[in-house]
Amino acid sequence: MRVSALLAIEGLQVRFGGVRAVDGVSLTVDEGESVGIIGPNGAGKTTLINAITGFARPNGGRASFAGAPLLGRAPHSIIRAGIARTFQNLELFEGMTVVENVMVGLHSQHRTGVMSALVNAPSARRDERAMRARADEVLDEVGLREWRDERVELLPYGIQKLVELARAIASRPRLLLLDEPAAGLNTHEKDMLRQKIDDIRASYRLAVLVIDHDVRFIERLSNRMYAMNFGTVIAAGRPAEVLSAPPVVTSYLGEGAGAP
Amino acid sequence: MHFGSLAQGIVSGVVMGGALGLLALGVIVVFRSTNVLNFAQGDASMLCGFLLYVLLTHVHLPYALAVLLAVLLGGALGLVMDRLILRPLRGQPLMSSVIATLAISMILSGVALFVWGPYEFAVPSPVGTGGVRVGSISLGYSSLLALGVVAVVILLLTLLMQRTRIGLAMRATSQSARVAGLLGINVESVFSLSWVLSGALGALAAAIITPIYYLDIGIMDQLLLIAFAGVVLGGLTSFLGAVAGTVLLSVVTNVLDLYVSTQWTSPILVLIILLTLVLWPQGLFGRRSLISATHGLFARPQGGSPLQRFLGSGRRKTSATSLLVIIGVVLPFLVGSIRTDQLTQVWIAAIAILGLTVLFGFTGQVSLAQAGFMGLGAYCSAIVTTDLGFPFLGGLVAAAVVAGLFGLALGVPCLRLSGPYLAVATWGFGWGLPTAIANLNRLTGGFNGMAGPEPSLFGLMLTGGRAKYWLALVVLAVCIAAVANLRRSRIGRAWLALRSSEPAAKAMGVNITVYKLLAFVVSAMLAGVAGSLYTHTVNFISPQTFTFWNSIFYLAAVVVGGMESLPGAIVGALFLVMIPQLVAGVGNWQYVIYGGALLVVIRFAPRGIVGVPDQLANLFIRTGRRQQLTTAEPLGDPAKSS
Repeated sequence: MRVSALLAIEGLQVRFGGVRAVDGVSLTVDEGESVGIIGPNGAGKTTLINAITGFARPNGGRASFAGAPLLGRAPHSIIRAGIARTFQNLELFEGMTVVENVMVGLHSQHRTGVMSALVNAPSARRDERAMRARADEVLDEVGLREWRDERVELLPYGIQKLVELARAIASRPRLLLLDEPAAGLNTHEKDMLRQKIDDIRASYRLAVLVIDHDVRFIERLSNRMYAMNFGTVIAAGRPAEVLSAPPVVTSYLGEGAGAP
Repeated sequence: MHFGSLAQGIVSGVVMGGALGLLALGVIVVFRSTNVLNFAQGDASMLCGFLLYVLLTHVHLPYALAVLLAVLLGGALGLVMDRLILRPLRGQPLMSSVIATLAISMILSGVALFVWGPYEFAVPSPVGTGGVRVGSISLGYSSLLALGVVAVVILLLTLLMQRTRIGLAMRATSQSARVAGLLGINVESVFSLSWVLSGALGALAAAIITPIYYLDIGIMDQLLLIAFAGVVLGGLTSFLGAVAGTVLLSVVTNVLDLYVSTQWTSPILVLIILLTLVLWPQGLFGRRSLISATHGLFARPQGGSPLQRFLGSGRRKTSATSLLVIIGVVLPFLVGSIRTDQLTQVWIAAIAILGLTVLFGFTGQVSLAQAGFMGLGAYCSAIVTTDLGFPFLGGLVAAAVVAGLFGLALGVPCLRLSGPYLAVATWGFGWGLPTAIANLNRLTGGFNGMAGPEPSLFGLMLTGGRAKYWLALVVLAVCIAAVANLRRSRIGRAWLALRSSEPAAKAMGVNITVYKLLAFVVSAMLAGVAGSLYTHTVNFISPQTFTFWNSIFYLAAVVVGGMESLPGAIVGALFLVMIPQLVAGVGNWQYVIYGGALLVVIRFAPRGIVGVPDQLANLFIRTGRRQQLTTAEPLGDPAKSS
């Protein structure tokens, strides 16, 4: 395990009953790096993200983030460590506006307690102003200013995806985990989203670990790629290398297919 | 106690539980397909019982024919309820439908009260009053018949569900009505069929139960509550489990009656229910998949709010609020002293309802313990001020603190529960508490009740209707301001976030456990404050003051007022307290009118009464913003937005 890596995972295992959803996966993500994971349905990609973020309990292996051990922490403490995530099927807070959604993303950054909130103490008001200002800043960066006070459930799907992205980066995480961000988007929207992610990564010096089925989307977005199947890593390296690796070709195109 | 009475207790428990099981089966049939917990089941069953009674004793029909007609009436009632009342509510949150069945229940029992009055009737049994004796155990023929019928009904229902196309359609619909519809199943027919079946089962239950007990307008409702507990204990998905649950409950009740003492039976029973649900959150025989099915209970009606936009935050809102406050303050000068006292009770109810707005409206946790916490606060305040001699404020603070602690104690075991399971766990608490209060008679005066001293502030006695009115109004204002502050803060956002998506809330750093418990505590504290005010304004409390039904009505008030709205709590309280008072002149019809009003609000104001101005505004502001949303987006694809 390289010590310098921001996120280092070694031999991670997650079993559901007899199913080895993640079976000895090792990977690293460096500071500011963009790493993609491709793989067919059921390859264990989402389970991997869930294990990193405390939603799934690993049965073995090690993981460290910025030098500190990561596994075994409660999901709600992960963001404080500097890891934010999005979800495969949008998980927005319906009934709340866009800006409120983003402000929940700042929950972990502030300490206003029940008592000061109850009486709307000066400290609570200060906190609130800071959160609102930061949320507005993020909305500007992601280009959501005009949707600020709309209820999220009324927005078009593509906009909702951006809201989730804005919510995830509001706390200025060091690592962003994107679970199939391109699912359900058309080609044009995918290009726009990729551009946004690139911009954010550059301005935040943010590391991104992104999983998707869409090979082209991942290829263009990533500095490095991993390919997974049946819970294991079947290829790793630069995008072009991974995509031409024989096991990847086989798992995507079937046995006996030639190089793409 | 010797063995004979234990055996007898167990056997009669089994019979009683089996009969209750019939009532429970009807509840399950509807719940499995629609996810609605039907509070009208007892009253529909009661009406069929009365038809049976009339056919047997006045028309002298043969028993089989009379039962058949009663079953037909039950089915027809079910069909009418579904088509007329529940079908129009399909797109709304499930809680609206649940409250609608409550309204139906009130209407049916109101009608029955008008026709038959509060008397008991003896329904003849088809098998006479004799029985068999085995050793020291005696069993009436009616009881044996009940057991036989229950067994046959379970068998038939299971066959229907597992072996027929209709059963397959019903099972598919209960998994996902949307997918079932896409697969070509006529979902509406399945829903109607479940209601018809459930009504018929209710009639059968009446035919079996009333000869064993007796018939009056309330008996089926009382039994229904026990059946609910049994159903949830057994798990809401399984027929056999439901009957096993009711049987278990009855047997345990009988055994407790024998070995402990009747007066502690219900508190102990409550503990058993709570414990069972903590260990098996889906009931003893339930399946896990139900969790997702019950989530829809808290689906929110969608829509922006032109009114809110108009009021905004700035000056308009402030002036609207201050106008309301001025009206509130001068109201006692405009209305008579009786109305003033009633309005005092409105403000007090609004505080308790505000607590439910936090718990149910903000975090989506349904609670039927609110009246229980209110009673706790009321007694606490009475004891602290009379026995310990503290001033009123001491009682108020003590009530809030003690209720809050109990809220915490109830919240911890309830963390893993949701939907109907949470409802029953909290209901158990609200149900057991009055009994416990009655039993602690050296402290609480038992059923004789307790007197609450007149309130005073810093030595100033607040006697007289107007003083108490203003006291209640001020406390309400403080509570609303506090809750509004919480709602606006990161705490309020965390509450709404966890209601909407627990995984996302966790990923954003919200500690779900802490915030759920906090909602429980705040909600219970508000109920405690309301209870304390009740004690010192009405000056008398008894265990019967704070019943399960009060809890139900508070929940209804939250829905009627507007689920997550703070003004909605006040509007809901006005509705709850004032409508019965306004129609009190019409005597027995007041239940019918109240139930009818409830139905009208739920049907035509899906976002509660506070949402009505918005709805009206929406009628006129159709275009504009909405069009903008669907045409000019830089990234989204409207075709995928569904």
